[in-house]
Amino acid sequence: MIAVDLFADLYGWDDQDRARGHRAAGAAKVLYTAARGGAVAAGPAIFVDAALSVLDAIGAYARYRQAREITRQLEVEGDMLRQMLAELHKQLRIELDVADRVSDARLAALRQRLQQQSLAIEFSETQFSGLSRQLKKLGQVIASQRMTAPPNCPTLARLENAYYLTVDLQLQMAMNSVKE
Amino acid sequence: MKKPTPKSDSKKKDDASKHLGKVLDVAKASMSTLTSVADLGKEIQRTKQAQIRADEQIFLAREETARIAVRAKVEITAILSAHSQAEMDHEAELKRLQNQHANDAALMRQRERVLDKLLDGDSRDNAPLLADSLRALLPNGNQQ
Repeated sequence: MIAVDLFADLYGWDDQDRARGHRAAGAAKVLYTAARGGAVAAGPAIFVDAALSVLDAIGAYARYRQAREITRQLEVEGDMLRQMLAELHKQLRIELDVADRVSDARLAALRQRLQQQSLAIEFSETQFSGLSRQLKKLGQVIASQRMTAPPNCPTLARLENAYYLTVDLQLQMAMNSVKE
Repeated sequence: MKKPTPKSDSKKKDDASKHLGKVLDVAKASMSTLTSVADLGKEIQRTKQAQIRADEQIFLAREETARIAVRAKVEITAILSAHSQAEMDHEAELKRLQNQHANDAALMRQRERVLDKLLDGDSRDNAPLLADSLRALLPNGNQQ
């Protein structure tokens, strides 16, 4: 047994391996005794050792199966996480698709709005330049009327009124363009 | 009667002690084995529970995916419908702007004609009529 302990210390065996070493040495001793003096000399010790070995083997198998069960649990957990990750990936792809469509729709709406504004500004610009031209002409007409018309001439008053209305219209046009 | 020698007594005591030690070893090994087997049973139960839990989680994740897919389909349908409506509104707005511009351009041309006539010195007698026409061709001109 001292030799077994020396070996155990040398190779760093744990308690279980040490106990197995002792049992193996004991069994060897019993077998040696049985070989020399017959089965009677060995006594019941050999059966006790055999029973201990059987129990140890059963215990070791149970621990091996425990380790396998733990491995199986980890595999199940890993499979579950893999599948959940795949499902999350699918969910994100779907949400991304929806977000893409929302973004496309917003871009299209913005493009339409810009097109409308561009057209409105273009039309306003045409109107504005047309009104400027008309104001110039109207100014010329009023100036020529003032030269010849009597005081409080209703036609002149109407023309001046038309002039102010045109100026109002032009201002309104300019304000609308700025607002657009 | 012959008394037993002390050497024989000591040997018997040693044997008894060895047997007791072996019995204790057997008991200890039995306990250890039983504990290992019981732990194995617990681990098997834990594996079953882990499997059930994993199946449940996967089922829930799949259900969530299906729910999101249905919701996405509804949202996409709404987006497409809104897009189609916006396209129609846009076309209508463009048409409205063009019609308005056409009307404004027609009014502008009419005012140009009236102004050209007013500038023409020959139609001086028609000046009041032309001034009224000009005001009528302006927005809010009738209210003045």
